[in-house]
Amino acid sequence: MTPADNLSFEAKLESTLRDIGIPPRPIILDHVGTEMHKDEPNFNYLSRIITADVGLSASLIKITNSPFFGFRSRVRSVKEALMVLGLDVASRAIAGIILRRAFPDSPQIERFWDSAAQIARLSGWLAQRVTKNNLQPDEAYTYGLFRDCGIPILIARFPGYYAVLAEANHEAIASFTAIEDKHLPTNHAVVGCLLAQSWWLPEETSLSIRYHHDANVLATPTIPPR
Amino acid sequence: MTICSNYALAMPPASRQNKTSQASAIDPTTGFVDRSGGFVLIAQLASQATREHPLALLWIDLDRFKQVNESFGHHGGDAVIAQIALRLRNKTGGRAEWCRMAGDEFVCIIPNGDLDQAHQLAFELLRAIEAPLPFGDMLLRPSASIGIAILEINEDPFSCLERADRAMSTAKRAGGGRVVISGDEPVPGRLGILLAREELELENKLHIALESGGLNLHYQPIVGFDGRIETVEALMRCETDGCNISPAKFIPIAEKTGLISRLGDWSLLTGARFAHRLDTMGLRTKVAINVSRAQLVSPNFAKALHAALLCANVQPELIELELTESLFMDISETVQANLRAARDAGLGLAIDDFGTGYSCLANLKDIPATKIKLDRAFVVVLPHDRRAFAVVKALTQLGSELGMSVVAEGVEEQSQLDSLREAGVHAIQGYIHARPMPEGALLQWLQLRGST
Repeated sequence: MTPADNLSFEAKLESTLRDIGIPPRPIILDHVGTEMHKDEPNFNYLSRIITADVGLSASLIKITNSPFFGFRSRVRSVKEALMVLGLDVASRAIAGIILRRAFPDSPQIERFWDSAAQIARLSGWLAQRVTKNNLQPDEAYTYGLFRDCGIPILIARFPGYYAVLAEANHEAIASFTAIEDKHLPTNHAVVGCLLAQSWWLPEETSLSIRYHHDANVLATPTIPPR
Repeated sequence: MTICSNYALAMPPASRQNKTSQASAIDPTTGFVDRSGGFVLIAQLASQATREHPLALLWIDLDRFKQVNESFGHHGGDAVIAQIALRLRNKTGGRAEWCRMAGDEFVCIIPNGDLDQAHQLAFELLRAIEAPLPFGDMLLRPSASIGIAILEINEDPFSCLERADRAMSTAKRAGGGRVVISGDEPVPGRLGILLAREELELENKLHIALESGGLNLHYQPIVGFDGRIETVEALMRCETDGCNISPAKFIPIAEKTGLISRLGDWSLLTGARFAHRLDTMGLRTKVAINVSRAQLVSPNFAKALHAALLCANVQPELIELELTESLFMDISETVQANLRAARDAGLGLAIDDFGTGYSCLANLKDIPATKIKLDRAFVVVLPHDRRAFAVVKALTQLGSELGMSVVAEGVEEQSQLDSLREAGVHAIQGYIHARPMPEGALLQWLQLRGST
């Protein structure tokens, strides 16, 4: 192989990477995961790599201090945030922050993310009032944020999806996903669950996303099969 | 609620102090009897235990408590201990007695507690401990490891206590936040029981690998006799702390713990992404992805499959599903419908390890397979075993007749390859061509092959 061949090979690699529909799990979650399982997690190392990303650090501190996330604290640094949250919760918080960035920006999508953020805050707020089955506000918050992340993926992948969305939003009887299933081979709940799984969010979160339009799960006390 | 008021609440009821002997003392932080008091109490309650009314001991050790002490000092640590002790007592009420063995170690003594009750209670305690704990203006997330032992007839109560302690250590080694029953502990010299502990450790390692990016797909080319790389098989690789866990080890654990469905969905998406990548690079090579029984028995399989294809933006023709031979133990209607849906969508279906175990000729009638992969057992005896050669040749003819492609796996020697060519087999997978490789290495391998 000549150097020129090599270059075009690399360039091809780059372009194919950009064309992927569902964002891959962010590398920073791997770092947090690695430290999380050590006897003595290196908080200094983690805060260093998080601090390198100014936007991420600011958001992490903000969310740690947010009452909706369930931690009424006043942390001022990334390291304090990690200490207060604990690394597993911090990992979910970081996933939530990165989620929005993982998708290309557009005006319509911006509105979608704003409402996702609102749903997340409301879910966190609700979880603090409904204390049932050890439901944690941060888990509810993360769920709210990821709940509909299948929608932007379907929008990007499926040209007719806006029409399907409109129909589903105006449907009075059939469930939202039933309308999607009528037009597509899959639906946003399944796609969202897939993303949550491939980012290794907790199984409960993934399954909650999978079944969030399924009224049957309200009647059954146990988690349904996949 | 402030820490002070919790502290007061955690003090023992007056009646408790009368129960224990004079020599023992009440631990001021928790209100539980101290270590020596615990021994007295255990001995006393053990003497009253019978076969019908056994005594259960739970040894509870808080996980990573050293960190709490280091961050908040011993005074802070004590305040946390007091709150947790309060939770523990509230959970058991009058059902059990409590003892503080050491800093962050407690023993719960359940008179009249059989294994089921003790197990149930242990999980309740674990959940109670794991609720977020307000501390100053922070919330802590405690967790614990719990070992359970039931006093056996004529057993010394202290050896029972030791068993509970050992079970707790096993729970701790497996990553904490869990309950281990002493019956599952190794009886000296018995290999089968040691396995249980090994399994726990393996499960923990697997989770660490998942959360730290240690799970990967490697790809092994399947090469046709015309030289075309028609397919690469995706194989899972799992790595923690720089050491590999063999799929032969972690797949059974994943099957036991139900993690296999997640691993399966993950491979589907990851493999489909790679197929898309190959496609955009102009290589029309298919990716074969292993699907497990757990995935195929789910009525949601077809939707998840479509979601993965859609998300990866890949043409279904570029994906092949490999069905393990164990799937054929029992092919339900759901499995058949799922396979039909996959086939209708345009995916290829390959039957792995064909010709051994549960896979048999009848499967070819029930399953719309597009490929059979002959078990390596047929290959290793070639070229000398003429009977094996005859079987391979006949299966290849049969496969061709049914419009299926026939692949031989595990090919290492040139003589085997020649023999398989003579038998008419369509393609070869094995070290003779290439080992499984990570994504980047495979792309380069393909590139190099293409340029020669």
